[in-house]
Amino acid sequence: MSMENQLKNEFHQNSKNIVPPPSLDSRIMAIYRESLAAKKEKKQMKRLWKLPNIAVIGLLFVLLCGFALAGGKLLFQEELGNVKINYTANEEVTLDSGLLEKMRHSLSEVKAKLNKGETAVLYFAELGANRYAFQSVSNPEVVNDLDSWSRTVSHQNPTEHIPESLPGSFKFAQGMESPAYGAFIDSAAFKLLDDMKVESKQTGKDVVWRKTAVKSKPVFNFYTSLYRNAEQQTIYYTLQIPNEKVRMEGITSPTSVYEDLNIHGHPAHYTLDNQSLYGASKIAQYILWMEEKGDQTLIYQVGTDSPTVTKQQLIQAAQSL
Amino acid sequence: MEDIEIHPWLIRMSQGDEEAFQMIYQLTKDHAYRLIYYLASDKQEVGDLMSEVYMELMKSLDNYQQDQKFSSWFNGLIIRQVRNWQRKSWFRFRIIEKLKSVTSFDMTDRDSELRTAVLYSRMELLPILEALPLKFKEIIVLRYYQDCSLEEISDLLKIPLGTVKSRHHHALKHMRKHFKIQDQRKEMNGYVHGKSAQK
Repeated sequence: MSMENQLKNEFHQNSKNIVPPPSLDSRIMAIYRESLAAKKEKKQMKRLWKLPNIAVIGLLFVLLCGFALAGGKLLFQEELGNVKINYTANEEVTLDSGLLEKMRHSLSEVKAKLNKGETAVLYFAELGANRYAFQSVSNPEVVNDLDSWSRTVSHQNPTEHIPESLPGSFKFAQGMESPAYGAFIDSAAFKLLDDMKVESKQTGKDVVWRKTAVKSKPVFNFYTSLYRNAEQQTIYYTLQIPNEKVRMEGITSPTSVYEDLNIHGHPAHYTLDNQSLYGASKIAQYILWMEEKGDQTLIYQVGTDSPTVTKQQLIQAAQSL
Repeated sequence: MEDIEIHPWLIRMSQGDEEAFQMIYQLTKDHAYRLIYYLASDKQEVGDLMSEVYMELMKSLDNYQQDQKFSSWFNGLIIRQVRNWQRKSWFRFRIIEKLKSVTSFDMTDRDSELRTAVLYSRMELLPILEALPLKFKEIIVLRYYQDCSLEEISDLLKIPLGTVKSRHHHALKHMRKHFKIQDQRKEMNGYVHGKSAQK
């Protein structure tokens, strides 16, 4: 008999002998009841979220530039409602121009292979254990009709209005339920990293990628509206709404320019990243701030990948919202 | 266990219905216990791992989509829990302590475990499976116990088909080698015993 058939036989014969021990039923039911009680307690605690110093979940988040690493210079730290953001500059994510070009190329190549609505994660073996080696890309569905897009956004938060245009003759071009670039990497997607590392080792591939599953209940809802002017410059405006208490870790290269601002009386943060992995150019500029509306914490981001759009234009766009 | 049979209970379970959880547990427990048993490196930890699997089922049921085959989704969940268990030995201590506080360990469990272990060791190939790294063991168990095709395994483990094929090949090669060594040992023992008997 072949080993394959013998294995099947042995599994078949032996499975009858493997039965859960008698006490396991009551043990698992006890765990179920304990877990259900804890869940109910957690729901009650959610209502008391205004309390300070409540523990936040350890969630890794790609802001625009990748994962946070230990150390580095803290650019800003802000906490509002159910969101805490740490943003650091770290030498480790300073890429040489060749690698940056290669990563940008791979990201756009993978994006081209995705169907509408799909997202993927990529592992760049050259960066080894550096968590910047793990990046994401998406090919989101786009909505070109402003009315229909406005309805989608206001359905999530009725206070939000999507303008038809932004200062500087920027007209609404499209909306998408995703970040402006890249995709959110949740813990399920992060678990793919080990397998991708193994595949890279076995096959010698520098870049390994996988499609990720779309979650029915994402950690964040993203609404990005893209505006374009006659000179084909673009400005995007992203509204990001967390569905649970989150801690976001953003990281950028120390070569980035950073400045504190104020938008609508809220602390805001301007960054010019000259090593952007996404977008039409390697220069990405963005302003980020948070506001609390109703029981939601909203994260706003106004940015551009057009190198000729000035900081002042971005500030004007942010202030017009 | 048909999906059509389990889906209504899953919906009720996600709403916090204890009777529904009990039903799901009854429908799945034998399958879950056996799969964990074959994958776990320490058979004494199968009960703890089983608790972990059902805790995770409670937590992640919201992620289950009705158009997915429940058995495949549940198998994936079991495999992830076994992997995590092996990976996080520091965490294991905490869980075990937690479980101990919830329930005590019955002596009849020990008898049951012992009986299972004795019968398991009487098999020829299954004990060899124990020497395999988890990534190879997963493939063998899914292929020959769960009767999954290599394509299904690739989907379930979310690894490329080529990797599945390669692991499958290496696992069988490894098992053949150990089986041969085991056979030679048996023959040698038989020879020595035979010689002693002749004297």
